[in-house]
Amino acid sequence: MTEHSSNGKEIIIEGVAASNGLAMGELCVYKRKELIAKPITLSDELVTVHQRRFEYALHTLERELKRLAEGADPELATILDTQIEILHDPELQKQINYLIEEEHTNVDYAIYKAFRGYIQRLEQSGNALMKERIVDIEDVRDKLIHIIRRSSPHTSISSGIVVTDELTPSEIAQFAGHNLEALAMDHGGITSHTSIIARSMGIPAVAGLQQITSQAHDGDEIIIDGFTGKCILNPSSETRTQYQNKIKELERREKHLQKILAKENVTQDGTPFELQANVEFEQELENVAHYHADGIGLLRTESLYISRGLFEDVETQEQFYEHMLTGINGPVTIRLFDVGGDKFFEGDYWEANPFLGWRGIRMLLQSPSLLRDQLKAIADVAGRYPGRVRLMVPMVSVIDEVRKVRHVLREVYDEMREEDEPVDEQMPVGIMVEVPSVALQAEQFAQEVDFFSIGTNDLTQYTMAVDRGNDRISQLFQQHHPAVWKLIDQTAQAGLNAGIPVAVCGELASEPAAAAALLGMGIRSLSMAPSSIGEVKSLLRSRTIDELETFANQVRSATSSQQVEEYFEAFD
Amino acid sequence: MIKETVTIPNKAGLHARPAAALVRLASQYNSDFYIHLFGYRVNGKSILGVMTLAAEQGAELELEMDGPDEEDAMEAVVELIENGFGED
Repeated sequence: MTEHSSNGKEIIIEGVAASNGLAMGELCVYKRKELIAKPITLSDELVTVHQRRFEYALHTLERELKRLAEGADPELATILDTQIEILHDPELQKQINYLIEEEHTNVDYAIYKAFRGYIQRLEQSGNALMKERIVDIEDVRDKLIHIIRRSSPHTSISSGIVVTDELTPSEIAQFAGHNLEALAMDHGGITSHTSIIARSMGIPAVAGLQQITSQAHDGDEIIIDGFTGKCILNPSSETRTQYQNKIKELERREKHLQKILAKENVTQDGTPFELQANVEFEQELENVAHYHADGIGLLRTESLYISRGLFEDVETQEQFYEHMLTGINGPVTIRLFDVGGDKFFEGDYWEANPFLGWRGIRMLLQSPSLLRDQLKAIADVAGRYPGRVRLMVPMVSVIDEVRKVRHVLREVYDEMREEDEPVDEQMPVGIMVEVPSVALQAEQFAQEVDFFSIGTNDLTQYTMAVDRGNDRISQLFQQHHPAVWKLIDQTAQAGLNAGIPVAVCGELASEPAAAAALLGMGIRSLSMAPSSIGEVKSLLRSRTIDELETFANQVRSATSSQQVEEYFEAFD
Repeated sequence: MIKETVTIPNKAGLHARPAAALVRLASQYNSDFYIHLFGYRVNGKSILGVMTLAAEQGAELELEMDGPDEEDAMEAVVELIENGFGED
């Protein structure tokens, strides 16, 4: 046991819970070496040398950032991309070259000075999001200077639990490779880039502690509670025991879930079900496999959107779909572009009510080349991977929309056959059930589609007439409301009667008790964020289908969201 | 040389991600691109310049394009901005 030569008194510091998790152990304090640049006047001969050194630093750093960005956490990659753009900035380059050439300033000071102007303006801007970017900009500046001086920044940590003022993206990238376990920071909040990256990487973190770097010393014991935002320095033995138990409980839960994840998706009496993943980006594929998802129940395609009316071309789309197919086992359900609502501003055609507006299949049917391109890309990939692709149409409200999509798809297939391209004739074409008119007419729709996928988020919004982003009324966004359950139930029964699969891909599916009720209603396929799969699986595996059906009946009898939630609590 | 005015629709304003998207798009065209806001005039191909504008939601930007492909460039840039840069 290490002797604590510090005063040994337990100190509790409150900060902001930036990323869930717990850590306890010896900390190390990380302080970036401060870079000081002093101005020197260059002789004529040295001007070219310094200019060349600047060019070299730009290229070297760009290579390094690109290397770090490869396979990096998506949040981190975004920041690294912004840093690469900074290296391309024409004004910045102009200024630095001017300082070197015309004012004969040494390159490191020229860099420092050029950056200073931008940093000062950002500091004065009063915009919190912008200020957070200052760290990223300073990071680029410092790395350029380090390259020029051929010095290396101090980027090693002696322990996985790091106390620091704040971290730059490249520091996180580097520490992540050296077993970074937890973070406690003086600065930042929930939206600072470090916190976002920590959450994305699953590393517990607390931010906004203000003074922790002056209170903590290398080797001190610390508890970092990313759930409550508390940090405890030199914890008493009582506190240590308390947290040891909490950590043990967390680990037990994790191990338990990991074991469960590897098991079959069947209820206690052997009734099979499907647990799939909702996915948007390729970087999420690793997670899909890690959580043993049966497939991708919802592949969002809006990331292929560039600007109004512009999506990536057929080739680029195909690459994207193919990556998804080759990155996992199991089926992939591709949802056509659902751009609109909160994601889309129609320029001169401003919508008072984008949620009720020109989005999803409505927009697509009026943008024939867009629709055709996407259907072609999907059909191409489906032809090469027969049996693995399912097509899903978003925002359907009348049966005619389904017929029109099928019509265009048939035309695409005809063209493909003429070109001797393989066609997957059996590719299922299904619809998102999110508009109440579809749920209420589910029997009619079930005759003409190959599957239903219930989008409970939007279904709830439309049924309760609530914009969930509107703070004033957001308490009326009740996913557990009996009216919503009624529509889900009706859709499920219609699907069962027609013999088509019914899935749920909204948030509701990720709540274990709700998932139990859904299965009890006859639904056998759920799709959710991969990290939710464990808890859902655990509950569903522990009950028989009879128990789930009884539970579903109980939920059906509820007359308010509150009652439903009481039933949930009693069941879980 | 052509000019057009746009309003920033995103909640978070013209922060790092949209700034990068804007700069990348504008840099694909030959025309010079400038943005006017509150009396400042910045090079629209300079990410640092665009970021320091710190344009918030509702800010009115005057866009200036000058060059052989100015029409196409303006159309593309205006679309990108008016669609909130493809963000939530």
